Amino acid sequence: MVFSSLTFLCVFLPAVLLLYYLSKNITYKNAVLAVSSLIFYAWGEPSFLILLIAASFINFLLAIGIDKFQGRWQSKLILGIAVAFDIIMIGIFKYAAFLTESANLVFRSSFPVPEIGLPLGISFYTFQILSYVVDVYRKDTGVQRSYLKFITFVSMFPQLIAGPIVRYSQVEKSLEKRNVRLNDFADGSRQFVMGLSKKVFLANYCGEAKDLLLGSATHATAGSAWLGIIFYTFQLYFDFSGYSDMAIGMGRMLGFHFPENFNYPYISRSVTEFWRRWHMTLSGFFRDYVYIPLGGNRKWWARNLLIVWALTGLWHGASWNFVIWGLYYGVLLLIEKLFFKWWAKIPVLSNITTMLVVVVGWGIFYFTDFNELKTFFGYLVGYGCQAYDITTISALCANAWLLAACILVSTPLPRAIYEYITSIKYVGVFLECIIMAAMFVGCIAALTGATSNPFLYFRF
Amino acid sequence: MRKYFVTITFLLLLAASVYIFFSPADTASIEAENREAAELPELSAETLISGEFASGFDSYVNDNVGFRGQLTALSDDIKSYFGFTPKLVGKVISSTSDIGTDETLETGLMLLNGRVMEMFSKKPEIEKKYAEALNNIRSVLPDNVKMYSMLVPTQLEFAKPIYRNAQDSQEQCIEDIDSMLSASITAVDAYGRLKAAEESRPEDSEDGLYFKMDHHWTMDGAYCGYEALMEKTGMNPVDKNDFELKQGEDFYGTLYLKAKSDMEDPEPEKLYYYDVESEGDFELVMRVVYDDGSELEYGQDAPIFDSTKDGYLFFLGGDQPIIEITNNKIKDGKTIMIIKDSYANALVPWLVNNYEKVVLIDPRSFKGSLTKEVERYSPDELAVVNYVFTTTFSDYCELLNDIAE
Repeated sequence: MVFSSLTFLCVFLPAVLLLYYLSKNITYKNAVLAVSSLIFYAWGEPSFLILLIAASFINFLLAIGIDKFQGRWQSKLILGIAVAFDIIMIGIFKYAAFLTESANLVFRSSFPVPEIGLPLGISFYTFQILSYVVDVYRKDTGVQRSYLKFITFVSMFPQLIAGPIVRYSQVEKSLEKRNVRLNDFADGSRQFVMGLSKKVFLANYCGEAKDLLLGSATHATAGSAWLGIIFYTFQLYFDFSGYSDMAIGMGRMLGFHFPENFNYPYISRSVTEFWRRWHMTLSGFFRDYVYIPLGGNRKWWARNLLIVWALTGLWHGASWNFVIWGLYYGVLLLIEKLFFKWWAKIPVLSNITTMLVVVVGWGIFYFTDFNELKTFFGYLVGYGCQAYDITTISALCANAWLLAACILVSTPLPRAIYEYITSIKYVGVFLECIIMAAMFVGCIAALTGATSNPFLYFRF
Repeated sequence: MRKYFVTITFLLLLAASVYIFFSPADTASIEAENREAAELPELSAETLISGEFASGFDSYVNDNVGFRGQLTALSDDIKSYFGFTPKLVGKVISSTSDIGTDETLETGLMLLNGRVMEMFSKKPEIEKKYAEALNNIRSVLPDNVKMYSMLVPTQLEFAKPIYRNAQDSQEQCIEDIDSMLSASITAVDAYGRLKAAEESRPEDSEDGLYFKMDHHWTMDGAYCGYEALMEKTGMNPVDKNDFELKQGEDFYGTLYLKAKSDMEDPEPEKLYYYDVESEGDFELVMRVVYDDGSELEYGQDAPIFDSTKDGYLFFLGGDQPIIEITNNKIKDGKTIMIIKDSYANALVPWLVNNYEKVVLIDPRSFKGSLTKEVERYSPDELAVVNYVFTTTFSDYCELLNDIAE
């Protein structure tokens, strides 16, 4: 199920909130959350529900084992088993076809390529489970002995399929006891509506413009290629950050505090800064569970950096273009760290160059087919196409204000204005309610009339 | 105080969402989209596991929420605030197109001066299949049957270069296919006639060769195709001024339905037609051949111009597997068989003036054998008449090929 669907907004969310608040104690509340999360997951992916339950149950038991033998060699062994199990699981379900195809290509072999569908959200929930077993081993968190609570953590529907990647330690206390204060509920509902609006008004319409410009139904031109990839740049950001906002907002409505995942990444002045602001929970995961254990900044930092970025790329999808995309950032970060630290001090110019790097990066990210990728980069420099055509001009005019809105909403300015007007004495609160209602009704209307409404990060 | 107001507002909004879910469905808004509302899917273990129930339920909710008409209208309004449409530039939107086969293709639509025009994307691999299908049809025809191929371009092809160049050249597609046809198939140059007629037409004239918001040609457009075919067969075309020009019903067209949310309430178009039917004495019969070879005849009293039907369906009442039209005033036995898509339907009212029998076969619904039909009618001529977009549909080319087997 997706958040930005009428089924979710008109049926699922009201029903879950009602049942949740009718439940009198934490056990019932957790049960409501776990069951509704499993229904939420099964809605889109019924056949892989069993994998989610089984993977979480096995890790749940292994973590108890790790805890039991804490400080002894058995604990390390069980951790090894757990990590191997998780990596093999994601390896089979996400990377088996990719690895076989790559092997066939390198060794000119002809192993049959397995046809396994990608289980929804596997990259997200596997990482959450992994962080949990490692944290138990490191004694960074206590062990959970109730499977109900553990499955509630793993499957919690707000963040189950597209993050943020929540670590067990961040919700450990809330699983035992949580009081939702009215402030939390109000803030959560506001963040939810804002996230929904980002997704429905900005991401979806940017997606439509991008589909027209980069799709096969119209002619490729240099102008269309640039404009298309710029719309994709905004689609990705508002899609994913909108989703995260909705997740964090719902979390607060249910009494959880999930970590923020985005912090205006498109105002960054360097690639380093961009990755401190984009998908922060993923960068955090790789920093704490891969980069630092490899030696971090102390030992072989350049090697560590490249390993982390190749893995970051691969996490996004089982295709070589993602590995290239990851390494592209790895190399850029390396160069930046060594030679260009001063560049970020130049305002505007550094913003522009950073965005150029990011937009080109999304080009690598978008095309999973190498030939298409090559052709696309040709188009960017005008090779084999016209500079622009009527489609380019039409798309620019028809989405001119959308583009302006996207640029604006990528900066903290609208939020500052919002906070200012909603804090005006007496009228501010009414304005806030009116804005919220207008956004929500607009979203319901846009979803009713929508033709296309995919979530991009679902496939990762 | 703020927390109370915000929380209450949000809860009221959620309650309103529940309310629209339980409100009676707005059936009129679905009818306006020319389709039926999704029904509540069957709940069973099988549909649950396959995910069919979930996707069916989502469609059901989308189609059956209350106030759907108002909500979609609001959605269109919101969309219109995202930018502007300069009159000279028009608007290009993405859409899908299908021609009544299983395949659906991504396509661009150009909205310009109140017209909605499909944008052509050339597919050389499928063009090859199209030409092969025609060559295969030729190979099963007796040598004495003359065969023609007419591919009809659409209106964007004749717009000014700045608009026309946003799509692939339809002229090139037709030339490429013609060059792949066997020597015993005569290519009919509808393109040239349409181009000449379009160029001589005053720019602001209301009546055109194509409908404004439909992908088909008008009877005037079809007349160009008719003249081109007559030129190749060596017959004289009838003069269109011999027939009374009448005005049919208002209609919008199929492309309008796709572009509606991007248009500002355009006026419906009038359908004009040359009343060939009242000048002559025609008999129609329709026929379907089932997979097991059995047949059923129907539609014996059907008219050429069916005023009970909307839009382009006015011509012959739409597509049928086989339609046989006899002109009782001609007794020379001359018969033409036409393998066709819907473009031929507006051409038929002209052709019936030159042949005693016109037999139309639609490969999308005809399940019989062409050889048998050729034996039955012993046609003098066979023409394959399709609009150029059919050469981008792989499955249509397969269907075309199948009837030769």
